[in-house]
Amino acid sequence: MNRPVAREGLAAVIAGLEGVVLGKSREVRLALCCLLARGHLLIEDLPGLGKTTLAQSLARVTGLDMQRLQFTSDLLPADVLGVSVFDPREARFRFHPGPIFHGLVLADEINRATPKTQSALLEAMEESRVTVEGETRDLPDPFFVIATQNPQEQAGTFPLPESQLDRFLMRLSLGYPDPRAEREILRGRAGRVTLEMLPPLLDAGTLRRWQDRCETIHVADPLLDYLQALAAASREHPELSWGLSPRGVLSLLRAARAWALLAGRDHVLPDDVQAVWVPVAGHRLSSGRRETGEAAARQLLERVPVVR
Amino acid sequence: MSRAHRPASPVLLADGRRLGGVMLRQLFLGQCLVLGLHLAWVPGWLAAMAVAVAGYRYLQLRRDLPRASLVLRLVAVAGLVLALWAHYDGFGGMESLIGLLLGIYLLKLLETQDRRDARVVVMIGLITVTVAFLHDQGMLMALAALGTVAWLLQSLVWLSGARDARHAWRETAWLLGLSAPLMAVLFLVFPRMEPLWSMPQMGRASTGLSDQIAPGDIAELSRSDARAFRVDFAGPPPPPSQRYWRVYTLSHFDGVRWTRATPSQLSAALGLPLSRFVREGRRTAWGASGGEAPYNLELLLEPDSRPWRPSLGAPRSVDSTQRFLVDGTLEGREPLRARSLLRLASSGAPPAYPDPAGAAWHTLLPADTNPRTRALAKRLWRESGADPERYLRAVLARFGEAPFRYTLSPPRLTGRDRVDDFLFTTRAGYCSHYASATAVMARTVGIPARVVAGFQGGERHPDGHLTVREYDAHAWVEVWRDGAWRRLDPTAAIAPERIEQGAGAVREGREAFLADAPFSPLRLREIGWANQLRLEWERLEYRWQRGVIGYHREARDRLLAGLLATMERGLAALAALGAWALALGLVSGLGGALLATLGLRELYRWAVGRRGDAWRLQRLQAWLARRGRPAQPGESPAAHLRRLAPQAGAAGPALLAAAEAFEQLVYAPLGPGERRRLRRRLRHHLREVRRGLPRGTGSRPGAGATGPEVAS
Amino acid sequence: MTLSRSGSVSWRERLRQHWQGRLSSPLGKPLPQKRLFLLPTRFGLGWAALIPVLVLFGINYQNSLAHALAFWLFALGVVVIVRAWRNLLGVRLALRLPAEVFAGGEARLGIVASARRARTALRVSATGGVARLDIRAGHGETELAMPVPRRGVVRLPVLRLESRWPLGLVRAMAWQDHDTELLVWPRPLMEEASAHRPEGQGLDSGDFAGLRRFVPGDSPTRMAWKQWSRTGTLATKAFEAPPRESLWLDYQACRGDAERRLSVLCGRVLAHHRAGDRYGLRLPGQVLAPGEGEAHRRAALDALARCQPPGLAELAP
Repeated sequence: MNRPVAREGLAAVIAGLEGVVLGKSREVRLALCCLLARGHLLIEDLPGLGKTTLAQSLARVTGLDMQRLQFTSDLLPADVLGVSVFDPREARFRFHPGPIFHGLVLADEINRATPKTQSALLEAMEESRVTVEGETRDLPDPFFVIATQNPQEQAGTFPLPESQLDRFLMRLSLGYPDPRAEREILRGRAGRVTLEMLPPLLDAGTLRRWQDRCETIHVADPLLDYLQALAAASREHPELSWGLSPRGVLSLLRAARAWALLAGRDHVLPDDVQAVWVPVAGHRLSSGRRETGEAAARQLLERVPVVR
Repeated sequence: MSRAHRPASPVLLADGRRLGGVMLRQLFLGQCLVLGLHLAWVPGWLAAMAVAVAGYRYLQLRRDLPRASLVLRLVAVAGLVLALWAHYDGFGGMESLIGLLLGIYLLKLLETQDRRDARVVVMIGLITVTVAFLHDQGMLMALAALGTVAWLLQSLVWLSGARDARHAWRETAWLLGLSAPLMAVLFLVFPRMEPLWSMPQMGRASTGLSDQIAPGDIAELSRSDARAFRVDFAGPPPPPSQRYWRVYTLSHFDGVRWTRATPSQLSAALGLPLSRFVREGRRTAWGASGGEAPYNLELLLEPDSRPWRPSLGAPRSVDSTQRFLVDGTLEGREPLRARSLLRLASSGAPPAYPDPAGAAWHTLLPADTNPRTRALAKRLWRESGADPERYLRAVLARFGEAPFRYTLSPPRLTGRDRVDDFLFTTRAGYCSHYASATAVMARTVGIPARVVAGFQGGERHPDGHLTVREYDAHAWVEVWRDGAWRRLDPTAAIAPERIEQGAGAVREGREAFLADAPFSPLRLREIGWANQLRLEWERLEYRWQRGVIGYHREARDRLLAGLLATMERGLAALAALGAWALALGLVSGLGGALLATLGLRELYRWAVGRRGDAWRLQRLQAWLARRGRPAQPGESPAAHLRRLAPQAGAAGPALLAAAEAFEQLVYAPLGPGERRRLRRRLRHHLREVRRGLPRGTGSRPGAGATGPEVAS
Repeated sequence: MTLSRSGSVSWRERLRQHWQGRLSSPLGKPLPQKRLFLLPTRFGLGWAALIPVLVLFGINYQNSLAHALAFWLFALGVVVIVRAWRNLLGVRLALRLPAEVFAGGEARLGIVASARRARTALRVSATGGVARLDIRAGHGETELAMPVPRRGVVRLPVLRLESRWPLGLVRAMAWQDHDTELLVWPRPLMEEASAHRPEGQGLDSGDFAGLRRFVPGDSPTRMAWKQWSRTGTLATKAFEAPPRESLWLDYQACRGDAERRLSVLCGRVLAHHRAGDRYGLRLPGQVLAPGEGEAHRRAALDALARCQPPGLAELAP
C-alpha cells in the first residue's frame, strides 16, 4: 500500500502535460522530474518534434514565466544575461535584465552560439546567479533551463564540450511520435490549440515546495548500494573513457527522488533509478560519441544486479 | 473496467442470474460422481441419460437456445418412468425407487437455470449419495461417498462466490476438516434406535448355505468366495479341525434329500407345544443352565435374506435377544438388513441335551429306498457286534480305505436310490454325499442321527480374526450317544486336508474351487505379497465393518459406559494426587508449553531471520526461472514479478502484492511493527505465488510475449 | 385508501429507521460482534430439514453411513455459521465519494473495505444498488451505483453488508450507519449553450497588444523603431493573445422553473469551462465573481447544487 504523498497535484500536472504533448508520456515525466530535481534539461532532437510545445506547456502548467531564447552565432553573452543601457534622461546606466531572468528559459539550438555565449548560460545555470559588470544578481527561483540542440553536426555549430554537458541533469530526445499520437496531432486536437487552454496548476511557491519535498524522499541503504554498484560498473566499463563522477551519482539520486515523488511515493525504488538512468547518465558517460554513451548506459543497467 | 460487464461471480453468466458453463460443468461432474456410487447396481443406461442431458445443456449454452420446454421435461420424466418400469417390472422394489431418484436427479439439470436450482440439484445429490449406502457400506463406498460429498460442497462454495478452484477447494477442505470432529462425536454419542417403521427393503441374494441337502444335484455346493461372516475370538481360537459352525440341523430324510424341520413344523407334526422347540432370550433355555461356554466370540455377519446365525457348537448366551432352538442352533428374529455384530458364548461342542422330537424322529427313514445300503448296514452292524461305537468306526473306516474319493465335481446322481448309487457305483463326492450316507447308515441300525449344515474352518488373518466364506460351507453328522449329540464328520476320514486346511487345500476338483468367482483376489493366494496385501485390506475392511458400520445401539452403550468408567478412573487418580501436586503439575505443564513455543519461535527466527527478504525473493525468482519465467537482465525483483503477473492466472494478484510488499520492506522507511507485518505479508504472498502459479510454461519473456503495439 | 397506505408506509418507515438505528454500527470502524446478524437462507432451512430426514433414513435402515452423513451435514451447518460470522466480523468499510455527480445520473460510490484476514463474497447494498467485493491482502474495493434523481445535498442511505459465504446456508448481515452527504450538481442542459457564446471574441491572437521593454534575443522585426527614435527607449512590439472576456451567467436571465434554470446554468458553466472562458455566476442570494479553471468550475457547480431558489412569486417582475 502506498502511503500517498499528496500526489494529486502532480498527477494533474502530468495529465495536463500529456494532453498537450501527445504520446510522449515518458519524456514529459522526465522533463517534469528534471524540474522537480532542480536540474536543467537538454533536448537533443530534430526541429519540429515538439520541443517548444513541451517547454511552453511546462511553463504554462507550472505557472513559470517563460522566455524563449533563439541562439544564433552572433548572440553575445550580454544578450543572454542582460545589458546596462545608458539612459540619457537620468544620465546613468540602467541594467536591462536579459532573458535569462525568467523562471523557465528555453534556449533553442544552443549549439549555434559561440562557446563564449554558451558558457555564459551554463555558468548561470550552474550558479543560479549572474554577475554582470561586477554586480551579482540572483536568478529567479525556481529557475529551469531547457536547452535544445540539433544532433547533426552541421557547419557553423559549436557542439557543447563534454565537460559542460553534465551541467544538464538530463539529456532527452523526443523522437517521432507514435502512429496513434501522430494521428491525433493530424486531427488537430493537439499542439498550441489546447496549449492555450491548459490552466496553470502550480505556481512558483508550490513548485518550490515540491522541490523541497523532493529532497526529503527516503533513500534506503540497499538503494544506495545499487547506485554505488552502477557507478562503479560505469568506471570499469571498457568502452568508456570515464565513468560516472560523484556529482553524476548525486544527480542520479536527485533525479530518482524526483521520479519517486512523481509516482507518489515517499521512498525511492530501484525502478526509479532505472527509469532516470539513461537520460541522466547517458551524456555523462563519455566515449566521444553520443550513441555509445547511451548504449553503454543501457548495458550497465542490464549488467548490474539490483539486489545482491 | 465497467462493472456491468463483469459477472458477479465466475459461475454466473453476464446477466448475473443464469448459471454459466463453469457451474454447469461442476454440477454435471457432481452428478457423474453420484452416479458412479450407484453404477454397479442400477441400469447402465442411466449414465447414457446423464451424458445426453449434459450434452443438451451444453448445446443450449453454446448456441444460446431457449431453455428446455415443459413438454420436453415432461416427456423426459415420462420416458424415465417407463424405462424403469420396464427394467424393474414395476415400482415395488427399492431398486426401482432408487433408479427413479437417480434419474430425476440427472434430469434436474435440464431445468437448472439459476443459483437456486443449482443448490436444489446439489441437495438432491446429497440425498442420492445417502441412498447409495443401501447398496453397500464398505470402506471403498465410504471413501467414494466422501469424495462425492466434498465435490458437492465445493460446488456450493463456487455458488457462494469462490474466486477460483483453489479457493473453493481450500474452503471445502476447511469446512470438512472443521466439521469432522463434531460429526465424529455425534456419530458416537447420538442414541441409536431400532427401526421406527418398516421400509421397502432391498432384495438380497442369500448365501449358498441351504436348509436342505440333496446329494447328487449339481451346484449344490457354493463355490464362490463371498464372505459369510467374520469372527473374532476373545480367547484363543479352537484349532482348525474344531471349527464347526453349526447353522441348521437337517433331521428329515425323504430318500433323496435331507431337509430341515422348523420348530413350528415339528410342533405341528408331533403335537408338542412350540415352546418345547424354541425359546427367545439372551441365554439358552436348554440343557444345564450353568453349562460351560469356553468360547467367547464376536461374529460380524453379512446381510442375508434368512435369519440364520452360526454358532461354534451349541450357543450359550448372546448379547441381544435371539431364538434358541432345541437342536442347538441359533436363529435371529428377522433377517439381517445390514452387516451386524453378534456376541456369542458357545460350548464348541454339539448340544448335550435331548431333542424333544425323540429318537424315533431321528431314526426315521423311507421304507423302501436304498436297499443295498440297508444290507451293507446290517452286515456291518452284525460284524461290529451291535456295538454302535465299533459300527460307526467301521462305517467311517470304510470311507477311508475303499476307492472312495473326495471331489468337488462329482458325477451326478439321478436315480431313486441315491445313497446306493453313491456308495456302490460312483464312490466320489463331497461332504454332503458322505454326511448323507453316514446318517442313513446310522439311522438304518437305529442310532439317532441328523445331518448338520454349516461351515467348517475359516481363513485366519494375522490379527487373529477368521473369515468364513461360502466355499467353507460344510455338512456333517451328529449322532445321539450316551445322552449327548456327538459330531461325526465322514469328510475328515476321506479328506482330512479339507478339515485341516480348508476347502482350497483339496487337490481333486481343484478346477471347481472358486469356479463361481473367476476374478477373485483369492486366486492370488499363491503369490506372497499379493496375498499379504489382500489380507491387510480385509483386515482394514473388517475393522471398518466392525467399528463403524456395526456401530449400533449395543456398541454405543458399551463405548459410552467405557468412557464414563475411564473418566471416573482418571478423576479418582487426580484426586489421589492431591491439590498441591495437581497445581504444581499444571503450572509446570503450562510453563513448559510456553517455553517450548518461545523456543520454537526463536529457533525459527534464527533459521530464517538471518536470511533477508531479498534472499526470499531471490529464491522465488530462481524458482520462477526454473519454470520458464526468468528475470530479464537488470530487472529488479519487483519489476520481474509485476511483469509476470498478467500471465500468471491465479497467482497474479499474489505476485503484485508480493512485489509491493517487498519494495515497501526493503526501500521504504518503516516502523518495526509495520516491518514485521509486512514481512509476514510478504511470506504469505510468496507462498501464495508458489501455490497459485499455473503449471503450464509461461510465455517466453521477450520473444512472443510482447503485445501488438510493441511489435508494430 | 391512499391515506391509510401512506400512513402505513410512514409507520413502517419509522419502525425501519428505529431498528436500523438500533442495529447498525458506525461506518469506518471494524464491525463489532454485537451488530452482526445471522439469518438462515431458504437453502439453509432446506438443509436443516434434510438432516432429520437422513437420520430417519439411517435409523430405519440401520445404516451407519447414513447416520454419519446426516451428522456431517449437521456439523457442516454449525461450522458454516461460525465461518460466515467470521467472514464479516471486523470488516471495516469506508466510503469514497465520487468527484462529480450530476442529477439524473448515478452516483458511483466507492466502497473501500479492509480487514486483516481475507474475506470473500461480501455484498454491499444500499437503496437501489448492489455491489460485490472480496478482501484480499487486507483490502478490497468496489463501486456501488446509486441513482440520484435530484440535485442538492443528498444524505446517503444506510449501507447493508452481507455475505452468504461459504455454503449459502446462512446470511451474515450488518448495517453500517453514517451521515455522509453527497452534493449532487444539477442535471446539465446543453441546448442553449452555443447560442450564448459572447460576441466580439474574434480577436486574433496575433493582434498588437502594446509595447514592452526590449530584451536581447527579441526579433529585430518586432522592434518598435519609431518608439526608439522618439524616446530613445528600445521597445518591442508585443503581440499577445487577447484578454478573454469575462461573462456573467445569470439566474434571472434564464427562463423556466427554478430547476430548469439551474440546469441551464449548469450546462453553460460546463460549456464555458471547456472553452476556457472566464465566467461569473449570479444566483439568488449568491454571486460568484468571474474566474476560470477547475477550482472555479467546482465552486460554480457547488453553488448551483446548493442554491435555494426563491418562490416563483418573488421572481415575477
